[in-house]
Amino acid sequence: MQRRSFLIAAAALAAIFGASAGAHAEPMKVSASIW
Amino acid sequence: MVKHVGGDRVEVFTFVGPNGDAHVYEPTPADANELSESKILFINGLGLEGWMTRLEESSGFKGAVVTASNGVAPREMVEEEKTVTDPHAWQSLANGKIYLANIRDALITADPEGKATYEANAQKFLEQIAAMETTVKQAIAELPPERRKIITTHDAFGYFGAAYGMEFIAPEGVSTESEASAKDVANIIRQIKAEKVPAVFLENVTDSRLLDQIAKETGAKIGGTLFSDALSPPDGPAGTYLDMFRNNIETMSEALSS
Repeated sequence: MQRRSFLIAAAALAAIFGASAGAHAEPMKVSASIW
Repeated sequence: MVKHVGGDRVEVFTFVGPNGDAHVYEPTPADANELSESKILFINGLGLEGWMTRLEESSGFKGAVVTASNGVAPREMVEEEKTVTDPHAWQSLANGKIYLANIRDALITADPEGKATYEANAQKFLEQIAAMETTVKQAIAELPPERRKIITTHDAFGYFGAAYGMEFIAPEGVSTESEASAKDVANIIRQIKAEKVPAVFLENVTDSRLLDQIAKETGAKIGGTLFSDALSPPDGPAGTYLDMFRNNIETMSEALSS
């Protein structure tokens, strides 16, 4: 039971931080004519 | 410049690549696709990118358009009895600082979470621009005043000349679209001979044949290649904005000091 709770908590944290890290890891796309 | 300020937080797609000509660039379907996915479009402005409006329309771009030259004092000149704006404002490092601030502010507006990164990167770049400004001014100060005259193909160095006290003469106008007339070329040949202009310089974005001919007829030497409107490939002599200045001032100094 304890192990299951731990896994759920770990999954929740991964989802939160994963999403957050993903937002930063994905660069903003921009275009520039020359510079 | 955008990549320098944006760092890892931005992915920059550049339309006009190394040695490309922004005056007459012809956009591709791939450009429209890239633009449609972009959050910001950075343009030079001052009439440089006549092809951009059509590209924007065809791509369905919905992001923000940022004119990097906003805030510079435009240089105007008369060509064939018409007043035209010189778009090459980046050729003054003081204007480069204005471009940098506009790019930084636009990135912060679009991605406020990255404010600290954009400010730090811009500050670092600003210091490098200031150092380059000192280098350019020192190099020109070392040249005898009567040798501070340069012939280039098209009129791309007006802001540079005004900022650092160098006279540039060009048979073509501010755009590579215009061709030099026989009368313009004859006038320049006369001027080179009368004023003893020591060197003519090729440009990375223009055909060298006209200047080769002028050099032959006047005896002026070919001083090297200047980067005016586009950078070299990354591993070339002018792969970044600052390397462009470094290459140009070294090329000018070498040709004009001897």
